[in-house]
Amino acid sequence: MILFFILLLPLVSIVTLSISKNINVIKFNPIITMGISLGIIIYFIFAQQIASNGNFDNLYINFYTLIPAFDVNMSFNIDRISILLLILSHLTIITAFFSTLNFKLISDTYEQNLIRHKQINILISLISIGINGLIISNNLFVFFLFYEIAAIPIFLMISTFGYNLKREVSGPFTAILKFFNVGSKEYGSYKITIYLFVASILIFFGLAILGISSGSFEISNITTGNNSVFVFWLLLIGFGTHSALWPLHTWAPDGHGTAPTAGSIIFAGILMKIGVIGFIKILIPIMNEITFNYSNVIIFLASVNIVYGAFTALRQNDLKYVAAYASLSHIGYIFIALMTSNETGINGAIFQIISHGLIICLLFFTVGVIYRIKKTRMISELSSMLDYSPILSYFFIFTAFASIGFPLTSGFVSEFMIINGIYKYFEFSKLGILMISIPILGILLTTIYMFRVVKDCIFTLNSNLNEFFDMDNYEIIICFILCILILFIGIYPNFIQSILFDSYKGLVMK
Amino acid sequence: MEKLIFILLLASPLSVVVFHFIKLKFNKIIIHEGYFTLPIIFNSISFMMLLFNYESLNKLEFSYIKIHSSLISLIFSFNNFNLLMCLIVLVISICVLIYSYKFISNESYQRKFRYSIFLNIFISSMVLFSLSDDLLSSFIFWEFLGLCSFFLIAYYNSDVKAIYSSTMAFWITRFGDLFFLMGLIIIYLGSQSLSISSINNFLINSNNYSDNLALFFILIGIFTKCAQYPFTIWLPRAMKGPTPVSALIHSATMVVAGIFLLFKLSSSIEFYPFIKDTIFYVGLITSLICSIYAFYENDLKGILAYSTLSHIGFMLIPIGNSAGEMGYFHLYSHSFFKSLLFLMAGYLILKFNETSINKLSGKLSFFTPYGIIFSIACLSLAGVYPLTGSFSKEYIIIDFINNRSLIDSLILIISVLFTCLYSSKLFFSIINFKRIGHDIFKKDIFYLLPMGILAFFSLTGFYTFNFFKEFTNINFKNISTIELISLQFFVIFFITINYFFRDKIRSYSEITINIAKSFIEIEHIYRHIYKKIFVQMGSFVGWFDRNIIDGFVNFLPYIMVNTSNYFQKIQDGFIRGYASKFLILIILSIILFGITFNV
Repeated sequence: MILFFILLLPLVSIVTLSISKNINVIKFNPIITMGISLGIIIYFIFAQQIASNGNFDNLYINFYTLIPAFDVNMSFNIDRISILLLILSHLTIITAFFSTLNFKLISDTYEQNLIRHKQINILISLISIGINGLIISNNLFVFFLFYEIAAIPIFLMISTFGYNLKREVSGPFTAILKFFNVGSKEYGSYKITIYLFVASILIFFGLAILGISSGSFEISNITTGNNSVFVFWLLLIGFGTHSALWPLHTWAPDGHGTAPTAGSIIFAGILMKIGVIGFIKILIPIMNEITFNYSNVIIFLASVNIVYGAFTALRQNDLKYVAAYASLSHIGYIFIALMTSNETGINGAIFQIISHGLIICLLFFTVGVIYRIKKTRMISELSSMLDYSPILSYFFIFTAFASIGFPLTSGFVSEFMIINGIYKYFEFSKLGILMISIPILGILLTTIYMFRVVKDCIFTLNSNLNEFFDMDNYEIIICFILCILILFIGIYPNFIQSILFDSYKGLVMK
Repeated sequence: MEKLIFILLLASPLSVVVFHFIKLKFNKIIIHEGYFTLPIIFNSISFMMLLFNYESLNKLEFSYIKIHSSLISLIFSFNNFNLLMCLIVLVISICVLIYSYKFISNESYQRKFRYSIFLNIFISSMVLFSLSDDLLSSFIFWEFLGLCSFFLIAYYNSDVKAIYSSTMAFWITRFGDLFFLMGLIIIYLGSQSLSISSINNFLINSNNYSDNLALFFILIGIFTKCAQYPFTIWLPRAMKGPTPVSALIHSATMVVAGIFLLFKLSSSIEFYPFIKDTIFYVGLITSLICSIYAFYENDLKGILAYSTLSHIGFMLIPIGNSAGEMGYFHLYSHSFFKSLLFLMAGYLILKFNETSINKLSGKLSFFTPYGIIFSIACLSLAGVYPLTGSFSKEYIIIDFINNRSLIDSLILIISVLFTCLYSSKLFFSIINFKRIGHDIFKKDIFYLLPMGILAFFSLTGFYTFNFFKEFTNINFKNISTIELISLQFFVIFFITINYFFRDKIRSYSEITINIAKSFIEIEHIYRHIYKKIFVQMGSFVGWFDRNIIDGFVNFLPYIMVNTSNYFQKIQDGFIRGYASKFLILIILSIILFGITFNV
């Protein structure tokens, strides 16, 4: 019961933020609130002994009924997977709050700064309510409601706090791209909003048809598998757009590029996983048969995602675009793994969700710090960071190693499990060896593009520069926490495996 | 006891971090050299514990991850083969640490930290790699070796070539590591366990398509890390790093780690003829080409790098010839004299600031301690009898000649010949016997102590040979005196020939260098692959993404905006315009009405 306060705590924080006039309160209040909320979740894990035994199944609560005829309730359900997702979303939001501490200030007046801090912290808190509610929702209606709560503040965030990029355009569509003023923050915010709302319309129709045809909107009550191919495609395109499944991904690089650091962290860390959460909560359990009928399509698209995203990241000049395409590539592993329908693969998918969330948070955070200090994100303009900003460089190198799946980081664990799962799914066959070479190729390409950045920006020494600069203490603290978590999952993956226990059983082919 | 060794191994890199942190906070209290003292002490203690207590040490198991509902453990076992490898690594590491203490004493503390931390992580992970008894933990520490190598090659980052070399080395070894990972996963689904013994059992019993493929993938991983033939190029380029690092990583430990792994798997490789032949021929080709190339190389570290490559080839040959223990023995003896040569080269380069042996010629007097040590190392490399290097080489050659065809033997003999030639070239061009430049070489304990230890092991061939035999309980076949004498005659004959007719040999064998060059200098192929495949593909996919997919996405709203702009023109704001449009519309609708209802 206490766990449901995590939805109310950000509201408290929003109220405090809007009446407070002290900048320190505005800066640190949301961090402390989210910290308390995270503490509640961790207390819950230990109090229920989730990690140590298999007794915990799920925690269901129904606040009130909205439409009795269609079983539309304000109901929530916490199971083993959603606890892990909640922890991830909290960490992401806390990292986002930390990134606003050194926020780029437009005016010098105290009031202006105060208002800007207030605005962005309230927006992030709103997104956190939406995300957390979506993760623990047990009703299609509640799912959609919180989805919209999470999606709306994105537009405000980018259009108010974003960056204008100078993007060179060429090719057959030059006139069109110039017409839209590509690279401006308005372009980015409109693009991401239009994409996400088209997706949300599709999801809305899909969920409505699903709920009305089966007579109940409760996820746990829809037992008879709905076999409408139409609904499946609606939901696949909707969730696929949200998770940047190829070819519906083009909002991601532009959105990340123009968004402020906090925005990028939230997108890549948790918002891009909404599609995956949709797969885990709705598509695979409810439409099991039809989803696995189309598993070849999903595996194909996800494989394209892995290779395509990695190849595109190879030639980007903007660090945020590199990170955006990297996260596109890593999302592909999750979709392949979800389709493997065995324990290792599905656990690997959950591991990859968490590990990718943590790594991409760290990556975007360090890129944000680089931008704050150097005032540029272009690889061609950055150099000699190892000598003049060692701590930042070591964090960036750590992130590079984590994202290429280096052993003893969480990336290795998840990729190892996913590749094992894929090989098991294809059972010894030659096709299996071909299929595991796709993630392997993805890792190889990740090595190449990440270490191209490390080579050019960090190692290469430019003797013209001699200013020593580095991260400040708050930035070091949050980066250190993320590093420790990445290493913890990499060294002791058993902990998360024991939290997951047998929850893969709901996600296999029936 | 076992856990204490583990803690000591982890403590040495950690102590560097702690020291650096204290150094940053309280700058003036502690002297700079603290970056090396604690690691030297920790490594020495763990060396002593391993050497004197090895019989009482038990196997260690850490459960790591659950795959296919069975738990994979990381197993560290203290059997004799693992322990011996561990001892070699620790001896050379302690020597290199003492040497580095002086070698980089002029650098800033930031750079010292970078050097020391990665050197210590390397030592710890190399020791853990030698102790590991399953493929997963081998893979984990195997990757760490590549990481440290990457950072240490790029240590002199004011040199663009060093950064380029380190990145290339990392990409190539990573490429191999991923094949290793694939092989490991393919084996695991069959054998349900990753410990070396059960994998050997599994591989012996089942011999099908996927096992061959898995072993082949693991082999690719080993070949990249050992810089065998198609992947040779990264090791000579890696010589851009500091010389003590080359002594430890790129000659004695990391590049031979793959040999150690193959030696552990050698009992199952017996049953896979294709894998055996691959190992054999790759080793043979590498040893031949690299020893020829080393003879023509003029860079001091370059000669040593190519010589290392050819010696790793020598180690592979017996593994492909069903005599894995001889490869291991050659690993053991090679590591002493090769790291000694590298340390010596580092000393010479530091003193004269020259790397070409033409400019270094005659600079080192024989009658200094350094001169004697250098001579020991060179003669051990050539394989002159009572020195360590000769024992392992003899066993390999004689075993080979007895078991293989004439052509194979001839190739091996040629590569041994060139080994003699380049080691004598090294010896005669650098050493002078005239007591010239005696006073330049001050007796410095930080250089002499590590080199003296390694020179002791390189000199006392009988002692090291007996130690190896007693420690591992391997019985070698005895070599007859005639074989021994003929081989020694061969070696000494070519050393003297080279002393008198060096230039003639060079000009006569001009054709061999061209062949070797065409084999070795394939860096442009790598560059071509990178540019043509990765860069061009990346550019194309990026263009496709920006223009086709994103262009299409932008095209739809563009049409919508344009059409709405077009229709907006109807509302021009003039009464007569509205009236005329209204009239036209009415007429049109009447006509339409008439047509549809046939009035």
